[in-house]
Amino acid sequence: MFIFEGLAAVLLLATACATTPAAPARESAGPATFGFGPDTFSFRNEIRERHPDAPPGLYANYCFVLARGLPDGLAQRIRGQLADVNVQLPGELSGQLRQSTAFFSALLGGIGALAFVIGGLSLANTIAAAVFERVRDFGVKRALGASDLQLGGEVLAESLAVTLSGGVAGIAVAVGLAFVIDTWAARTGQQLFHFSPRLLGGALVFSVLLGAAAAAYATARIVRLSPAEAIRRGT
Amino acid sequence: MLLRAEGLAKTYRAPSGEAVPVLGGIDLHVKAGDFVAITGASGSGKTTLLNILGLLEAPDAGAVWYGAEPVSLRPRRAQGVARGRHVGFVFQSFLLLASLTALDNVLLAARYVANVDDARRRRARELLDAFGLAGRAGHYPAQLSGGEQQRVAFCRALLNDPPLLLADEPTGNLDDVNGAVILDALRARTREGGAVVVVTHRPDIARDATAVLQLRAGRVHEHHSQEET
Repeated sequence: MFIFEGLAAVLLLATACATTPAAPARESAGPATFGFGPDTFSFRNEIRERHPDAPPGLYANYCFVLARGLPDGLAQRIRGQLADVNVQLPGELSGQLRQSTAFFSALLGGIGALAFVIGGLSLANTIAAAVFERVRDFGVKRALGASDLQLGGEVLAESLAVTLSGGVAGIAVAVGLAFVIDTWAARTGQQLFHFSPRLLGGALVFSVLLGAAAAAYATARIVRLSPAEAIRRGT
Repeated sequence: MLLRAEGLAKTYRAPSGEAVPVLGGIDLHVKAGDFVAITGASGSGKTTLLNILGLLEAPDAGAVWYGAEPVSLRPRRAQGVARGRHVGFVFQSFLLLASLTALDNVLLAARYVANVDDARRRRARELLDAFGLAGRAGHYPAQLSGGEQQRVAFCRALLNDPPLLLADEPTGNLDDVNGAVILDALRARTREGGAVVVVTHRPDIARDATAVLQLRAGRVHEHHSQEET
């Protein structure tokens, strides 16, 4: 169990072994405290505390050290004078943590990127297909006097409505699912999902822009046809 | 002169790259009250000629005038406006929009070239009523028979009161009764001062026409008009 001595303090993690000056104290069940210059070490023998009848020589001793000076300097002094005490800076710890989770982060990132590409392509394909399958209607509208701009405006408005409503619905489903899963995961003290407003807004803007680009591309392809050709192709 | 076409030529490109001439130097003059029938075998260029007259397709050579304006030489936007204001189309396959009701299909003719105001709505309902479709205004094309769909398409063609009606086999998918309704409406249009150009295979339609243009391989094979006889 770690002992936090203050959130604002610079912390060091020290792991003690059998031959430190604190070793005799660590055989006892209570915390063993000793001074090191202006700083204070407080080791606790977890095994001894939890299992008083455990055989001697078993230690699980950790302590956080409140460093009054620069943490690097203190760490070096401890390393130099207490050979069997390992000292780690929080930065080193988080670096190790990052390394150990790098694979899973890459895996999740890959899955996310794949979903991003597949979802984006599906959205663009659906919007473009919805335009292409109405090529005959566009031909009829142009026969009735519709300009390229009017048709483009209609298609963009439709794609905006579809991507906005679809994007909002998708976000609602994702947030709802994440809430259910996180509620379940909270029983083991975990949180698996975090949706920042920037992420949600970005997803919505992405879907709207992609839909608009697909609609503009499909419309540009169709209005290149003459009205007669558009009617022929759609019939 | 409502419509003038001179030297219209069109060549399609086959997928193999081979040039397929469809029209070669067609001239046509249509004035108010004319009922012009374009006849000929399949592939003779009838529909292509009608499309070019209606600015639905561009000719490779020649030009089309609506009144004094050489509309086929104008930019696309201007062509669209001219098409919407001067021409009403009646197609063999009706070409109604499946997602719109009969009334909205009729009003579609006004959406892009005029305002869909109360007057237009009243006019659309009057047209539907005149063609026996008053009770069908809220129905979708899939809920209408072929004859009813063609009458809706005819109402759409008439909504902007265009001086020129272009009809491509307007009775081709209809039974005799519904075909007669459409033909009567076309003839009535010429009596009201409009002009009609119709592509047809039916001899009875051609017999009643003020002029008949018979095409063969993209060229005028015969041209009869009542004025000549």
